[in-house]
Amino acid sequence: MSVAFWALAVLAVAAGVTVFVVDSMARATFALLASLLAVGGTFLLIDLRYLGVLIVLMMVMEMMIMAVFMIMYMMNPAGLMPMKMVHNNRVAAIIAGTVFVLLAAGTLFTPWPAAKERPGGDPTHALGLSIMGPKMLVMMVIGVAILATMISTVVLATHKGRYDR
Amino acid sequence: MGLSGWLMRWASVRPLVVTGVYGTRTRLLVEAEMARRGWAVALSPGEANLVVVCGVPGEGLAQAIRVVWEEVAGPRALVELLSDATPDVVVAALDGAVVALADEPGQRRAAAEREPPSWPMDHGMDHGGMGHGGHEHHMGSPGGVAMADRGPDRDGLKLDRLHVPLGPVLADWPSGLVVETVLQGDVIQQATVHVVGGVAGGVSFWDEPWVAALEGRPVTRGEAERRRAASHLDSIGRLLAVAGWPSAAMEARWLRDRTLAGESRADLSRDHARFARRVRRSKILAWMLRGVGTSAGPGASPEEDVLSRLRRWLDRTGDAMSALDDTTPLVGDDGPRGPVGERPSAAALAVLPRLLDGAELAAARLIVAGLDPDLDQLAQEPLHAV
Amino acid sequence: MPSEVLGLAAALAALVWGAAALDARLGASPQSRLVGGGVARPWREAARLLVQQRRRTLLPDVLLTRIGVLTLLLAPVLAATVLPLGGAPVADLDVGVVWFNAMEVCVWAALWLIGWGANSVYPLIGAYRYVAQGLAYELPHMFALITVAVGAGSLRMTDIVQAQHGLWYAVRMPVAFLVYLVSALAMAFWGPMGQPLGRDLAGGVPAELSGADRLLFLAGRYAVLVVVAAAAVPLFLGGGAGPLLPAWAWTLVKTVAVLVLLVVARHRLPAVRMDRFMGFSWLVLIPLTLAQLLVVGIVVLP
Repeated sequence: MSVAFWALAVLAVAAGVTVFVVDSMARATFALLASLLAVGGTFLLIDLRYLGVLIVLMMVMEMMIMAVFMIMYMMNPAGLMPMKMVHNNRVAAIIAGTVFVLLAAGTLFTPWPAAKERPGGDPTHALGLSIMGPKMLVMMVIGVAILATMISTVVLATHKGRYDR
Repeated sequence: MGLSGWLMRWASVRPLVVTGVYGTRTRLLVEAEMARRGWAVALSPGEANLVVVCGVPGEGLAQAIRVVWEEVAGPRALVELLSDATPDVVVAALDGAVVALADEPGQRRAAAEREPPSWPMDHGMDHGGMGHGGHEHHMGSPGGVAMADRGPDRDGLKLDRLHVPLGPVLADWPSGLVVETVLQGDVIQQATVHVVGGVAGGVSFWDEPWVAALEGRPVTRGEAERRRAASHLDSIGRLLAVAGWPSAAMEARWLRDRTLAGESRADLSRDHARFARRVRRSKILAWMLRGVGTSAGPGASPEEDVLSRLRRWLDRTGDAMSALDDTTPLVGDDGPRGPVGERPSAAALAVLPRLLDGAELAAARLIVAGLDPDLDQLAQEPLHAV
Repeated sequence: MPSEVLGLAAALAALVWGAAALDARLGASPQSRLVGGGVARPWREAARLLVQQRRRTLLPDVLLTRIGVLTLLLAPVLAATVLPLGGAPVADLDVGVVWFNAMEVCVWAALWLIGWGANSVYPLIGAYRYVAQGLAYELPHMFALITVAVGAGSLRMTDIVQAQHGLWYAVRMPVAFLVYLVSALAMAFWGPMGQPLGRDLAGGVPAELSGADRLLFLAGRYAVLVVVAAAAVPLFLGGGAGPLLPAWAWTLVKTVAVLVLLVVARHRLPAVRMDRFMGFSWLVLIPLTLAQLLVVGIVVLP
């Protein structure tokens, strides 16, 4: 179990570093995907199967939508033209460092409650209840509203569309 | 050795057919023979193991064929047929290709002698765009090939655009036609049309009966209508293939081959009626073809879409088939694509750039297939009625 | 467990060959069909690709292409592990439906990688088309799957099969079933939804593949087709339920029936282009599937 966790953790970080090392958009995108899939894997380890598989599903789709933009904006595939994947290094490093320190401090100094017993039933269900609590209905309604907004915005925006129809 | 030799004998044949000037007659013979053997055509050099050249290609097309041939992975075979090849010659040549493909020592020798692909890796700036023709559709590279440049997109964005030639060697495409496109994504921003390599002095296969009649040779109307029906079926087959309906395309080509083989009017009319009904009834096809190929530009004359062109071809084929037994002498010069002396295909090519502007690539292919220009008409000398 | 794995592998391989043979038979020219052409074509094609040399395009991204081809082969196999073959599936995940969906989306990535990696226009545009197709079919497809899950009150494939005792979901939620069949064609980039490999693109995504690469690509493609057909059985056709025959036999019969339907559709229907289908999908199919979801939701609400 902990071996699997450390393997996934190392993979996630290593793939994350790769994003900034490779010189091709496509490789960077898929390195990022590999990193996120490793994160999805850690969710599977703590029995949050639904969330883990959902991360896999959503991240792959997300990267594919990025790929559409990649082709739209730049049609030189296969990373022919080596590209730098890092820009504005100083500021980026400062921002990244600050965020990392904040997040790490948050993890280390939050007084996490000690587990009294193993959660019974479906851990995903339990997690949802403990995060959302009584606001579950509101969140679900908002979720549907966001979806409806997204669909109608796209429909309105593509009145004519990219192609002559 | 045993296993690969056995596999080579057992392997299927995937031909890529290229048509040179006045090669249409030979192409039809080759396609009919391939259908008889059950060979499926290759859509790209990557898929092919046999290249069949029908007729003599002009200089530009010959160069494109060399590029294509270089891109075909071994074991491979090349068959070159002249425009006046007889059916026996075609059969013998294809048999020869089968033997060559199964010849393991020969293929090994050829593979050993084969030079590595001659890509312009270190040639600096001398690549001259990507206009090699053929399947030289690789994109820019740091090796000196032009990178995509940027230009305003129709949605007001500034996007990469790429110069991509369509043709001259492409499946279900008039061999020799090159459409130089400027692509953004899969939308054509700009198109120019030219034809590579033509030698004047012959007569287009599809126009033969009418040209012969104009020159005073005796031609019956039935003969001419047979040619007309086959010509339209050839165009229909190409359009349906591009529209992504291979089984209907195959049916059109089968009817075409039977028409040219001289089958009786009754059989052909009956089968054509059934085929035409099937194509007309397809709601999906109508949905996909409606409105494609009409020019939306201001002041443009309303033009028919690809769907109505297809329907007119079906009608005219039906009409032609009912006249197959007509033995009266042929009068007039109204060939399958219009008056044979006026080179209607040249006019079709002239409107092409305007129609292609702003079309998505699939629509562009449909537009070209809907016009189906006969490039042999272009090479023709002006006709003089006798 | 090993027997189930072997059974799954054997069934997949047999069905892949069967689908390819039927497709070749239906696609054979009428002249050659008279002399029995077609059925042997998958073998002959495999023989040709086995001896064919590998080719390279100018400056390809070989690594990404290889990852793409392997993913195309692996994703359907992994998706198949949650499908009950009569008895229990190889992996009876409690989130089987989501797993199936995730693996199917990996096929998008696979195709995109292959199209991008070749560094050639036609494969690239084919890949672009497939992603556009994904965006068109995925939402109605997901809603169809959610409808099934809501109906059964579970994401586990075996629970969904159990819930259909009495009446198949194909009958109880016909809109979801029809949408699933359309998206099955789209997922497997097959037939009317096969434009990512279109003839107008010189073969599209795999245009530059030859030899073993192309063989693996074709195997993966047929595996996707088989798996999306097989998934329709537990989701909509009552799984292994049926009189007389054992459950595995019914599963096989139903899978073959759906597979034949999909293969025949390829030879009956012309291609659908996404510039037209996208609007139809979002304006007609999404509302329809949402309405179906609403109806099912109201019915199952205690």
